[in-house]
Amino acid sequence: MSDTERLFTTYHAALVRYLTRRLGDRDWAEDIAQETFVRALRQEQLVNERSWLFAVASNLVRDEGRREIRRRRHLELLAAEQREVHVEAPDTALERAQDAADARRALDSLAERDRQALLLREEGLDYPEIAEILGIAVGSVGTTLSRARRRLAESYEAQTTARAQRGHHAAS
Amino acid sequence: MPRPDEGLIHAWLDGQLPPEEAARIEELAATDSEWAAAVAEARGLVAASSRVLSALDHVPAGVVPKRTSARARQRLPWWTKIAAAVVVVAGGSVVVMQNAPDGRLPAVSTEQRSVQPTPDTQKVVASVPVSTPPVPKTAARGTRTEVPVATGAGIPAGAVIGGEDVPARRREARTSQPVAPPAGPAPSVNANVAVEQKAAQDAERMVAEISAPKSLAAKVAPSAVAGAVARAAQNVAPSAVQTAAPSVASQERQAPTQDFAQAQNAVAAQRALGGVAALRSAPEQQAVLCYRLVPDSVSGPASIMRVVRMTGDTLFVASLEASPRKRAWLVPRDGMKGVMTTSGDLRSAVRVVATPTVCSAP
Repeated sequence: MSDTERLFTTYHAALVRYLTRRLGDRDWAEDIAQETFVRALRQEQLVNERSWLFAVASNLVRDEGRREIRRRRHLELLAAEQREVHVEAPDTALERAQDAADARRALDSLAERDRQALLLREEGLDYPEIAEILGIAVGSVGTTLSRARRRLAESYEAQTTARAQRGHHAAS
Repeated sequence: MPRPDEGLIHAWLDGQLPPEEAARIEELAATDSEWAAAVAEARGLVAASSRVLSALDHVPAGVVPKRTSARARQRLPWWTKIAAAVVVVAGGSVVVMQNAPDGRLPAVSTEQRSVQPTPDTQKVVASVPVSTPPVPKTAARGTRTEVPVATGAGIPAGAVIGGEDVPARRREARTSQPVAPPAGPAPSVNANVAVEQKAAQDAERMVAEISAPKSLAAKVAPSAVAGAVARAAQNVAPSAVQTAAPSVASQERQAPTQDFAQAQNAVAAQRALGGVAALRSAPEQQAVLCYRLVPDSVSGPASIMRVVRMTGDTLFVASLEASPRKRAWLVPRDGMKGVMTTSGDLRSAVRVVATPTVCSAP
């Protein structure tokens, strides 16, 4: 197995998942992941492959996000419309979609650094790698993560509670 | 004893502390209740955040309703269609009555009595499939009242139909404008069917409410609404609805629209029968009508959900399991294709195709 194949096999799924969670659009995530691997192949040597890949992907998201965030928010829904992913019953799909929407709102309510730290940690990056990508001290990663996790859980809880109340009022 | 440090605890739970530091935190958590509580809370937050983030792996699809085309947006509002239909029917009735002796319709079959009024001449066109004899030039060049509008069955210009001079009657009709009501049986409403009449009125009001706001009428033709009223009333009070025009109700409708009109009809009838209170107060096991919902994409499993309430162009449906969490409302679009959501937020909606069905498990 070549280095290219190994790199792709080892990190592609995690990178796409990280980007999908961050962007809310799998197509866009795969585009960014592809561009990240293309850039990785141009490198003669990667000291820390995982942190390098996630750092480059994060930078690509940030750079592209600045330019196209508004357009992408629209396109992500239009692109999703073209996909046929509904293979489950509508009421089940509905619940999942509601959960995803609540989770998205909760994640969006976090500060960018907290959000990124959380997503990187979920993909298994260790504290030094997260610190390197975020440009913060290793000792502050734990504090950043504890704050991010608490806010995410609280925001998600608030979202689900508000939705339940809206649904109750509207349907009663 | 130091106070619990959340960052340190999360780092410990993440396995990111050096061994000696990890051992110290472990001892604190085991011996100090405050640290133990903080560790328990941190464990919960780690698990909760992972669960929340895993929900993001489900990317919603098909949640953007198709845009209404500019042409569709420029369609006339629904009430203009009703007004146009009334004008056409009334105008046609007037013209027919003008040319009927003593205000009675000519004794011809419906097929032979097609009336096509024209505003400039108020001509009567007999559409009997016979050849029209040539019109004498003198007559053709004469005044308007002398020109035969169209002659069927060899009726010459200026002929007297039914013992009456047609042009003279037309002139008379122009001077006297009162419009005779269409011939037909008067509504036979008896005192002993007052309850039924009220039920019919309730049904009519309910359907009017349904079609009032943004109205279905863009999708449900006015005739369909009228037909739904007529059918709902007939279901409830057959003797009280003879004023409903069956000819209008029998006009063609598109299949999805017809389905939805039937759904409206069923709920309208149920309400008119006194089911309003039952609908609102009864447990959800009392199904009125159910929809079979299937994903608007590949063939997937269906959900059967029952109608709980109808407001405007929104159906409130609920799962047969009566789980409040699954209660949803369906916004019909593109016929009976709709988006389904529990919060009204289209970003978290799913696109479905809904078909009225019996309330049983799929």
